[in-house]
Amino acid sequence: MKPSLILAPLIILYIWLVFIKPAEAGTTSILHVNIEIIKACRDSAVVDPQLKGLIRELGPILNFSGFSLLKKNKISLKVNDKTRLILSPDRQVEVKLLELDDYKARLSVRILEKKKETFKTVLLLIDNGSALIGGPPHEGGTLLLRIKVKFE
Amino acid sequence: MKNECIYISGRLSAYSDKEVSEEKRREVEIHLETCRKCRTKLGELEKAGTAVKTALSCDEADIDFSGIWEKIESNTDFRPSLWQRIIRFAGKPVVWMPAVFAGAAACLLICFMPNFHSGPDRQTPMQAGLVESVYSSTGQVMVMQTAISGSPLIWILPGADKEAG
Repeated sequence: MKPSLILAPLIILYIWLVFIKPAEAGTTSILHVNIEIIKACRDSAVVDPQLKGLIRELGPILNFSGFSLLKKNKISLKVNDKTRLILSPDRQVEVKLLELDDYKARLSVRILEKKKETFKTVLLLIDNGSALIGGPPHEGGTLLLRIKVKFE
Repeated sequence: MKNECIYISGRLSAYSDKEVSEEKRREVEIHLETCRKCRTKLGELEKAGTAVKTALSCDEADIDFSGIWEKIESNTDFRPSLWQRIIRFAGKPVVWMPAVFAGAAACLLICFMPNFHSGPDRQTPMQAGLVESVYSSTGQVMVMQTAISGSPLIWILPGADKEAG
């Protein structure tokens, strides 16, 4: 038997594996967004048990010692759907799903103060990905938003 | 077997074909009268001779030589069996080894092909998240990454007027 008889199937297999696209998986159409509204402060060492992971994430970057979970919202969005949440009496956050496919979600996040846009960002998140937005002052502390996404 | 039997049996074929002298023929006949074994042997020789004579008396044209050959071919497979071929192939290291090395090289290429496991879009694996654009009315924003998950962290800094105030 010639070596080419063995090599030919191997080359065909290689080409198939490398260059031919596998069958498309079921397309993602719904994005589950979990938004946590957190108050971070330096004058307290109390940490909400649900936010213990956050200390490890933020500890090396920001010197906050206390974290309390003010609100937790779970929303489901389709492309172009948007939702608004109240952060404080005069502050709202608006989340809009701009794009969604099997690998990434493009989210627009706006913060409105007295109906005026003060902050806007576009985030690109993968399945089970998350992002944090912080900084606005809130009742003697600082407001922190944690946005987690899950694809369906 | 007696020595006489050995001597006579060597001459039985010639006796049967009537190719012996009168003296020898008498000698054999005298022995045959007393030896049953040699008589049996002579009987067998005569039977075989008759069969050969019958066969040889057939006309050559009556024999189907091509049919006989086909029968022989159908009953005899001269090609080596699959197992024999495998053994013979494996026994040739000069041919076998390059094929093994080539196969191994192909497997390594497949395994280490960049983006082989990254899905149909062949994109480089994305981090937990990316910030595509950011705007703040204060004009001061810091974009960082968290320590463990590498998630983006956008920090809105107070405006210059507020800081001064």
